[in-house]
Amino acid sequence: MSDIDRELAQRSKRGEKDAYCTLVERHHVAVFNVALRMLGNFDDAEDVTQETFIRAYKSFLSYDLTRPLAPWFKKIATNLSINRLNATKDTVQLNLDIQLKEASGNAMPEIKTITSEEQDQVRDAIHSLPLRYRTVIELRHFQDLSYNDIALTLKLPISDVKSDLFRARKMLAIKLKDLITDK
Amino acid sequence: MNHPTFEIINEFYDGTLDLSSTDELERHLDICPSCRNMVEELHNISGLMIGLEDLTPGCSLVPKIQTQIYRIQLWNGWKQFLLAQAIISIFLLALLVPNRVYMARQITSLMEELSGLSLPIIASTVSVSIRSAYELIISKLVLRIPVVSFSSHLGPGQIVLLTGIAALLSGAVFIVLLRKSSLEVRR
Repeated sequence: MSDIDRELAQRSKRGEKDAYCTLVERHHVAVFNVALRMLGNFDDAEDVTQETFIRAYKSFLSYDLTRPLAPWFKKIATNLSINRLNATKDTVQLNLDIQLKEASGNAMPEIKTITSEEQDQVRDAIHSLPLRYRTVIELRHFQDLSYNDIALTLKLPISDVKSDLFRARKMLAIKLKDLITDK
Repeated sequence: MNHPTFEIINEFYDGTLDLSSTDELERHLDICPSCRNMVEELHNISGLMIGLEDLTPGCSLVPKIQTQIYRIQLWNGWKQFLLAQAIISIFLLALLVPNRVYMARQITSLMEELSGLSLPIIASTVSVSIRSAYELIISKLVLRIPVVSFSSHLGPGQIVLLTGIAALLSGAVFIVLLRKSSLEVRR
């Protein structure tokens, strides 16, 4: 957690009203984008962002300040997005209590410079994935969770996480074939 | 080595493949352009996702969230106010009821009767513990509170009204003190 976040969180816990609002200002874009990738809809993403910060505020007093805030906000947003998409089923439910570690990867991919049309294409491709695959892509690629943390978060065996991620990437590779070969 | 599956290549890419399989796969990648392409494909997919820029939500979102947070904070303040009122009301009611000494004795004798019944061991132990705790409270607290002399002249409605007014005032004082202390913390 950054020093500013830690200080704001401590001030917020002491009852300073404006401190939490500053935290909202600092993190709302990241949280909104998590919801947008999951839901694919601007209005719904804004609703989930709002709900995320309210939910977090209500359990803020019991939050362990040694843990970083940003991943916690993002996980609440992911969970709320899943609930919204999956209101009647309970197949994907996040565990918000686990401690997250940095993901380890083999190689750091270079950042591709892509036009806004191409960005829309990537967003559409992600959003067209089934919810289960979209969730692992979100957690692995955008929230940098390791296989183990994804498995703990989704309460799934690690083998399922691996195969979901494999299928999700394969589907993305097909959907984004033109973009991948162009680059 | 035969061509590895896309699943194996995924694990290789994520660095979760075991060491010996990784060595074997690396040797294979040196000689197999199609598998190398698959690794490249994964690399490009990741690159595309990392290259996604964050979109900005509408400018009314943050004020909307902040308004909601302020509402919750206000409601929390009211909850503290109501809690303070409830506590003070109970205390004042206990103080103003004229026959509270008599009531306390009645309750004590009821507890005695209860503990004298042939109850199962657990129920009896619980009953005795409750009685001891209650007697302690009665002797240490309730009976030591001086009787408010004028309360014996008040009717039940007047007692409730008086308690309500006093609780309201005390609750307001409590909230003012609370606000003042939170302002001091902020400074």
